Amino acid sequence: MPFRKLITKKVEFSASHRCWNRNWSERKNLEVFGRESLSGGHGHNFGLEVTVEGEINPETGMIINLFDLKEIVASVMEDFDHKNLNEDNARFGDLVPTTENIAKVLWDAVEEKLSGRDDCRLYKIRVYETEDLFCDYWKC
Amino acid sequence: MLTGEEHVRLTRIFRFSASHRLFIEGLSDAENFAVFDRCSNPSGHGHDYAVEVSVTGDVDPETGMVESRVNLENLVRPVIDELDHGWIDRDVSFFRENVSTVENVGRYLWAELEKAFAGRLDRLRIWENSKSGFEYLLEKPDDR
Repeated sequence: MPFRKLITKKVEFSASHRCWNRNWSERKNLEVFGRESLSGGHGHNFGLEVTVEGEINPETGMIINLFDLKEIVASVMEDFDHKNLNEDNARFGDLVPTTENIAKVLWDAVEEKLSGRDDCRLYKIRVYETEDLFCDYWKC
Repeated sequence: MLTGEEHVRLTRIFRFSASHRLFIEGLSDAENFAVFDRCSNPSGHGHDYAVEVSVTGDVDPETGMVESRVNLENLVRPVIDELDHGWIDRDVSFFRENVSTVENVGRYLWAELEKAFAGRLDRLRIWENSKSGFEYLLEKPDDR
């Protein structure tokens, strides 16, 4: 039976966001998003796990050089770390920056960066909004 | 390969503290000890449990969520509260017939939550302490 080979890089980023649908009243936003909708926004120390899949190169013993993966993730983090996701990140133009949408945007951003490589492909994104709330996202 | 179907799984961790005892009715204390060791202590013991409740589905384009956090709280908390700060074996009838192992507490919670989530419940993982966890999930071909 063939093995699936996965390798994961974890990073943390600090960002603020506000879950807010601009087409709704303040009251409806509060009903749906609770305190996540309050007007000043708020911040979290988010956690991100990027898992890629590939074969182990027999010469290097690696799927991908973890230093390369770290740099790829770090370049994606430029639009996330110490940013206001509603204001500073164009990818959230029409998307409410919920845990789910943050995971989706991160999938797209990391996948773009990996698109030229033939050694590995993105397997899964996990985003922790808090220690007790996280979202897994993948496409297949 | 930039296409593919989107899969989204949201997990919230719920915590509760409860006491319990592992024992089989009709066995002596010594016989229960032989099966369950210290967990069979006749006067019981307790844990801080952590339950990872995972739901899956399509992301609602208006809310950006697979499940509203308010809904998640309202559906799960009452089930957790049945166990919180109680004695599991005495408080819940399921555990008069089933030993309150972490596996059976997980099965019980799955059954209770499945009714509330109508097919959106994807997996459940329960930790009895930071080192012992049990996972209950539906096997699906595209799962990750």
